[in-house]
Amino acid sequence: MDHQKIEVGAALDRAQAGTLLQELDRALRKKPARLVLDLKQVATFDSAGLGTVVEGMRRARELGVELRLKGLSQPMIDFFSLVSVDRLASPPVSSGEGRNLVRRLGAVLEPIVDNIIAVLRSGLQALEAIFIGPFRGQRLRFDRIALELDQCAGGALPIILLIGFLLGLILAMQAWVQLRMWGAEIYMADMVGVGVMSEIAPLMTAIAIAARSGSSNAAQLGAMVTGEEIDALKQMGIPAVSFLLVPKVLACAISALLLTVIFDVVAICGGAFFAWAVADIEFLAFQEQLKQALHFSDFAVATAKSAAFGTLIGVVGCALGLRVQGGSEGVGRATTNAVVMSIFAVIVTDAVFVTAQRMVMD
Amino acid sequence: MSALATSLPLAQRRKSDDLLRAIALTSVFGDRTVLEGVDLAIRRGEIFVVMGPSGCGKTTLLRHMCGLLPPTLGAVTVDGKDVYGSSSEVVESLRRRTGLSFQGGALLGSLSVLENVALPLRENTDLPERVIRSTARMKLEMVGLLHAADLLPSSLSGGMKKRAAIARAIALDPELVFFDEPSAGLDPITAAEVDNLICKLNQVFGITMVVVTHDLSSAYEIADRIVVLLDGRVAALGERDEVWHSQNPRIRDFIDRRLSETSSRGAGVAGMMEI
Repeated sequence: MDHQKIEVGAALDRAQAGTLLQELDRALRKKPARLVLDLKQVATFDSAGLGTVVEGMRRARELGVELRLKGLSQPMIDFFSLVSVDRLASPPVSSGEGRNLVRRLGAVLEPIVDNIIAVLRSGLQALEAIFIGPFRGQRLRFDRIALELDQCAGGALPIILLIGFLLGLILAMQAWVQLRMWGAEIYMADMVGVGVMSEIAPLMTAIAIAARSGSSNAAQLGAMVTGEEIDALKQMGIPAVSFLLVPKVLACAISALLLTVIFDVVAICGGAFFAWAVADIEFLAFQEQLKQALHFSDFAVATAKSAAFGTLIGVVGCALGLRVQGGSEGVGRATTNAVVMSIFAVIVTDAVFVTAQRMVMD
Repeated sequence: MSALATSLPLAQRRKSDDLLRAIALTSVFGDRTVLEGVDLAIRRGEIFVVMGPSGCGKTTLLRHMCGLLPPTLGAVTVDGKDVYGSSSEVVESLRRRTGLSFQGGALLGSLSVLENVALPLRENTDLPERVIRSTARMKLEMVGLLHAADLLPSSLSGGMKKRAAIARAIALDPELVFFDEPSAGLDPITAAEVDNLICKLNQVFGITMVVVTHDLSSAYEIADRIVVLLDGRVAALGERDEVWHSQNPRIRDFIDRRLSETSSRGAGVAGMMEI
């Protein structure tokens, strides 16, 4: 069968589009040399109907079938005068990439590697501005640091107080359940003191700051990038590094440090409270036991650790915020990535610290 | 069905009956009255231009007319149906018959240009996927953006964003399309292209157009009828030439781009200077 003909009814519109497309596909599958689409009965049409016709033409060209339109009314000709049917019927340029394994793997890894590089670069810039900048006459903007510090540390204080006290209580309870089997309840103080000071306090504080400030830094800077505010700063000769990055990073670092110490105190109070209220251990006895368990070197390492966590969270949030692309969705993605990457970086750094500390001590 | 669905030759399509009426619209924000007793009727098939200086209430009027913002007092009717007084189904069906091209484009940043145009088709019809793509590509070709179909809105220029927004506004073959400042922020050539596109869509499809603009040359180029708003009131309403040659001094000031006495800021200093 060389020639095929389809007659379209009175309405060539949205309601008929599905049926017509099926009809066209069926006719084209037989691969006739020529297919005639007779439109002379068409009284009403809309663009979905014409879209169906164009889709048929595209398909016909793909299959090497000659498709002819017959009986076009004047309004239809007016319509087609607005578009180049030739361009529409040519197949869309398909992005035929990403099929092989290496490309796909690359597409997954590339953004991660890019993010890590961006974080390292921002980190170096921030450290340079903090430690070397002042000697070159670049001032630190204390007003902005204070502002950021208020938002970062001041805002997180209530939640840190609350979870600090409760965690101290919970740890003491868990320890008490185990230790009382051997009548060794007094070692609760060691459990709570060492556990909180060396791990729980720095980690919980870091997670709280990552969730509160890391995310908000990324979102704020991301929105500033999309609103061209960063470019405006640059153009006015105000470097984004010293105006935005350094205050935020310093605020995160100082907040982490302060909040960790506060967490320590509150959690130990929680533990002592439990010991006194439930396990019948006097405050003085608890205090004496703590003195033996805690060493200043542990405290110093833990504090340094939390300052490092804070710096990391600040750098990660800002770095990801500053490289936002693609509007509101990019801001959302950067915010999520900032929190995930911050927490991951914190845990990795923690492992490095603990390993280094043990190697030095032993 | 849509305006396209009519088979009447375009010349016979009547430009007389009213499609949209705004009746005594008053709009108050806090203690500021933005619009006061605005009455106007938009005729089927015409290009109706709303003009006026910044802050005169143009955009507020547009938002009332397109169903986004209920007025404080007064009513908007489309085909005799009250837009804000009817059931939500009526309002939804009216909304599907109208399109709006936002000033900044308001394209969804996470979707490609093609997907942005396909979105109303996808959400409001049950067309097969291939027809949706083909129709969306056709709309993009109409506004001359087919080559940019797969780009994200963030990589488009201002003029391209406007054209993509127009393609999205006409995706469902609306009878009535609103344009908010179609030529704002565009260079004269690109602005003329957008004007040309508006006229072409009006001529070929008989789409009724309501264009809000403060661009005088563009208004003169495209308008059938014009309303000039000054301080929230209708200062002039009528055929283009009628308004353009109005003898009302405030209209003349606006159209001739003359600074009125109160707004010529340098005048006070000039009087004090010794010559």
